[in-house]
Amino acid sequence: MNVLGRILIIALAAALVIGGLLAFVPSNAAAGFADGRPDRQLTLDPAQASGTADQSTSAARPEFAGRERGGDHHEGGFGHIIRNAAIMTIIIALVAFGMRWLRRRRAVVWL
Amino acid sequence: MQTVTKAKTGNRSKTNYVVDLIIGISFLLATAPNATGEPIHEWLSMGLLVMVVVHLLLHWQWIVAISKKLFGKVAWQQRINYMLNIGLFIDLTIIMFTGVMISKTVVPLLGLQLPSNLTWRSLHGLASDVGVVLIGLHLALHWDWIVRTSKRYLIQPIVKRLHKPATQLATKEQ
Repeated sequence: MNVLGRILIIALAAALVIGGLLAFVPSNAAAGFADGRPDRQLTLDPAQASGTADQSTSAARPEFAGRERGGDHHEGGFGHIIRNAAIMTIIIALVAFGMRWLRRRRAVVWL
Repeated sequence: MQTVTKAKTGNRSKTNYVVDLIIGISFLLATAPNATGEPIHEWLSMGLLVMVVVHLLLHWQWIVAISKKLFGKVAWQQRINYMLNIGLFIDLTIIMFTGVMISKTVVPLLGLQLPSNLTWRSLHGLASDVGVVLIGLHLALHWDWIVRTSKRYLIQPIVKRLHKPATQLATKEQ
């Protein structure tokens, strides 16, 4: 089979995944969420600024200013790279060296 | 004849190593769009997509061989590896597709306007977090090969280059 045929098979497999995803995620789910969310209050009322207002019921969330609600994975810069590299290192250490240890002990035959 | 085969295997191994190294570094950089900036994040991911396809094409024979005998007589480690790779393929497809759906640079450049959908954004973040774990497992299962190939193509050439001037100097002095 030539390279083009192989690429076509990969594309078909990806299309299958995307098709499943589109069937699983309703198209209007996000729109509904966007419609239903409260308006952002980016400035503080005088009462809130003075600290006399009950903050628990307040819609003012200055920490969200300029950001979308609902969590944003785009937070973090190079710290994110270090975090992900650390996660990968821990997994490698646990799995690769764990497997080697099990093999040495002959605890799991098929390893 | 045997030398030619060995040289071919060596070249293939080197190609695999270079491709995998590029994929690994690109993936880590792509997981932090705030560090690189949105345009670099998107173009890097497009490059990553091409490199993943190249990676699959380079390992096509293994994919076909294991697919044929998945339910037959095959080592359990290979079977687990195959299942993990299917999961990784699904995850990377989700990351790429949701990334295209929330694209701010690449897709608008093509003159396309996709409907805004916050589900894609949260799914993109979730799939990329799952991807970190799956790629970690993928690396762990191939750790022996990674160490062996790194020694051969990365560490040994550096060590050789560092030792070369000293050896040359000693020869000149004699």
